[in-house]
Amino acid sequence: MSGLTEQDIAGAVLRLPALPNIVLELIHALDDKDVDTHTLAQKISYDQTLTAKVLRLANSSFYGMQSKIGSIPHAITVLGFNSVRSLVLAAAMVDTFADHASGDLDHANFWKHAIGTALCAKVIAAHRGANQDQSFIAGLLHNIGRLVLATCSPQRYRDVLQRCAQRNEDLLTAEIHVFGIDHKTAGKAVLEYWKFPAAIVGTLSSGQDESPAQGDSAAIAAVADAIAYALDLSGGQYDRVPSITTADWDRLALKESVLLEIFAITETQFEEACAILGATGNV
Amino acid sequence: MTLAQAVFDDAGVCLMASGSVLTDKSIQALKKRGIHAVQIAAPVSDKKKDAMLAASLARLDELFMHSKDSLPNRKLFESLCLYRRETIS
Repeated sequence: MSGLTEQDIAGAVLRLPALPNIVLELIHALDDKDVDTHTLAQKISYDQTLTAKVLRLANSSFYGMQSKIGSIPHAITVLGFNSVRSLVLAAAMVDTFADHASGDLDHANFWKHAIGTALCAKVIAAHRGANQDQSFIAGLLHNIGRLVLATCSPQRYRDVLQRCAQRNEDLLTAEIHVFGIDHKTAGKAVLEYWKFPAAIVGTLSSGQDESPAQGDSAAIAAVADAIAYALDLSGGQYDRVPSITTADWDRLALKESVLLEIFAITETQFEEACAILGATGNV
Repeated sequence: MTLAQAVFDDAGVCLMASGSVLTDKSIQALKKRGIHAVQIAAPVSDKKKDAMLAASLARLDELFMHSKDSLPNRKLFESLCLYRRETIS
C-alpha cells in the first residue's frame, strides 16, 4: 500500500468543510496583540447559534461565574478576549464538522475526546502557570489529523480502525502502516493551512526539542491527550492510551495529588461542555 | 451525597455541576440562593460498588494495554487506579 504524498494531504485538507470567516479571523488574530476586539465581538454576535453556545459555555460551571453573562461583549469584559475566542473556536469547530462524512470515524466519539483533551489541557496549564486558552485550543485540535486522514481515504481509515480492532495495534502504528504517515503529521498540515500560529502547530511535536517560546504547550497537549483517553471520556471501544514520552512527563512533573485534582476537574466539566457543544452522540 | 443533576439559578447560571459532592457549606450556600431541593444520586450498595470498581479497573487495563511499558504511563495508570478507588468507594 503506497504512502500519502504531500499533495494527497493538501487535497484532503481542501475537502474538509470550510471554517466560518469569523473563525478564520479569530485564528489569524491569535498572534495579533493589537487585535480589534470590539469589531470581532460584533462579528461573533451576528452568528446567533454560535453566540448562544458561547454564552451557555460562559455561564456553565466551566467558569463558575456568579452573575449571568448576556452578550459576547459582556463575556469579553468578564472572561477576557482570549477565553471567549477559545470558546468560539470550540463551538464553531464542533458545528462545522458535525455533518462531515469521513468513513467509519465516529464524530461524536472524536469530538468528545477532543473536548476532554481541551478541558484537561486547560487545567494542566493553570497548574503550570502556562497559557490556559492556548492550551485549550491545542488540546481541542490535537487529533484533528484523524479527520484529515479519514477524509483523504475513508476506506483506508476503515482499514486503520480494523487493524486496531483485530490486531490490537496502537493507532499511530496502524496509521503509519496504512497511510505512511500518522495523524500528527496530517494535523500539522491542516493547522498550517488554517494559519494557526507556530506555537499551536508546534504542539503536535511533543517529545521533541521544543523552543523556549513554545514552553510547556506540546507536553501539556500530549499528557492531556493521554489523560483524556485514560479517563475513558469518549468511551470508544478501541480507544487506547498513547505512550507519554519521558521528556513530556518529566517536563510537567505532575505530582499524584495534582493528577487526582486534574482528573476530578476534567470529569466534572466534561459532560456539561459536551452537552453545550453538541458532542453527545447525537451530533 | 453527590448531585445527580447540575443546579442552575433563575438566570440560568450553573451553581453546581452534576457529580459535585454536597457539603454542609454548599447546602447552606444553595439555600441562600433560594435553592431548596436538588436531585442527588441514589446510594449504591457495597456489592454494586465492588462490581463497578472491578469493571473500571478492568477497563483501565484495556485502555493501557499498549503503553504500560512506558514509565510515565505506568505512573499515570497507578494514579488512575487510585482515583477510581477513591471516587467509587
